[in-house]
Amino acid sequence: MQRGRAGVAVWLGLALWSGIMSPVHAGTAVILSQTAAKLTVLDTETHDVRATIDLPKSPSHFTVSPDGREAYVTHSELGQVSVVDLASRAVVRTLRAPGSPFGVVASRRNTLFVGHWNSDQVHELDAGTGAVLRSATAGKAPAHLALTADGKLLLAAAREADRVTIFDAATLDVRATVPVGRAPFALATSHDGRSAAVANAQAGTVSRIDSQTYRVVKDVRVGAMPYGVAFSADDATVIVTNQQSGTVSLLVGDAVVTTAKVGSYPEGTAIAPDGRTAYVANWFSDDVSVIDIATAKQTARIKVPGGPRTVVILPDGGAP
Amino acid sequence: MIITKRTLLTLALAMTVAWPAAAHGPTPQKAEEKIAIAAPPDKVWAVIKDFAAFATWNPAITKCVAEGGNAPGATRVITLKSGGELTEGLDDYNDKEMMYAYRLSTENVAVFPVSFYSATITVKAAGEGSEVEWVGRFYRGDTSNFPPDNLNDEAAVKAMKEFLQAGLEGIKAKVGAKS
Repeated sequence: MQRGRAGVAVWLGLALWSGIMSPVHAGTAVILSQTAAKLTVLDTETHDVRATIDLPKSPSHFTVSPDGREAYVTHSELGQVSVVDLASRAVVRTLRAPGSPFGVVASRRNTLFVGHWNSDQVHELDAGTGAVLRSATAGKAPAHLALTADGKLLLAAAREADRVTIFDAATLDVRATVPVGRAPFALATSHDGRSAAVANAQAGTVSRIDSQTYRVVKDVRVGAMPYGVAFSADDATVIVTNQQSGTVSLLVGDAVVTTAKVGSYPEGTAIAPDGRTAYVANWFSDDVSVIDIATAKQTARIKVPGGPRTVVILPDGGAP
Repeated sequence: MIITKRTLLTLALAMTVAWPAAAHGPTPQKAEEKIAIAAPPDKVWAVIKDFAAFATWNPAITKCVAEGGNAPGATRVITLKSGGELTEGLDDYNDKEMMYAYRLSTENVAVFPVSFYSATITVKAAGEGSEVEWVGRFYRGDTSNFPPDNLNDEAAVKAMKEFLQAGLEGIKAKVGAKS
């Protein structure tokens, strides 16, 4: 879950730390398969598929609620967001969303930020009713969205505008527009709240953004067609999937330290809370690669339903 | 309608910006074609290894004008048998692994109903001979939610599949292998 992964992980962490949630089951990954229209609930320790959840056709992307109980799945071609209860493993609500909803991230006040892919707009929806609360201009073709760790800023990668737009998440007032490389698509924010990383698909670079000064600190060259990005829990490592190269790049600081082979056309990725393992959705080969970060080796490939594009890790709780 | 400078500017912007923006829809399609060739991999790779050599082995291409050799960033303008042109860019090249990956830079849905694709061609050893694998990831010609029949997912999948199949047959013929 590029967009918002980092933010969600922090919320989950904070929620646990403050005792709001009771730890249920460590090590759950949820994978969205677009072609098969399914969510797969995967045990990250045993690699067993615990459940698959049927979705309406052509799911585009998804995120989870801060408490990890609901998944919000966008359907660009249906103009809707499916709300999935991860405990009962069923779609429990369908929200209408303007245009072609694609990127999505959940706030802590029961709202969703959703990008309208075939326009330049992002919308804030009530996660219960789907009512549009606010709208703002992000730039042409909003792709992934992410919140900073404190939930105060919303970042949107505008793929056809070659920029990241940073909003005040409370008002959707634009704080800054940050020019990045060609075709920014995947976006993640760090857990320390200080930085963001955006993968510029057609430039083959990752822009590291300082989310306090709103500036690009460094453009790092990665592989061909980077399509997914995630921070480790300690922010020390950033993983980038290179869709066209069939590899992942591991970045430490502002340099690529190693590259590992994965499946075919890797897209979404997430790093487990312990920071040791990354999961990569291989869109073409219909599987998930498990990467050991320390050795930069693929240690397993787990078969999942057709066309996996997004991975979200639930650190604890969430799907039982 | 009152034509103002602003209106003209808006129109001009709409014309230049609207199509590329629509060219990367959210629902990619896949094509995967393979062919077995009774010849050693290095002999097969020699036929296709130059990014610029596309027209020498691909029967669907009549002309290929390339720049940049086999380095990532190289480009080629290809003329389809049907007459239209497409521009492609090289993303990844690995002589040792006998593969290269490229993508569409300038689409032309009138002649090829795909708004964007990336593709990878690989030669592998298989038994006594070789196998060439050619895979593509692509989007339909019209990525709006209501595409016409000639620019929908089915049309794109059909066009891509046929293109890859014809190309693979072309490699086999060029290698001159019997199998």
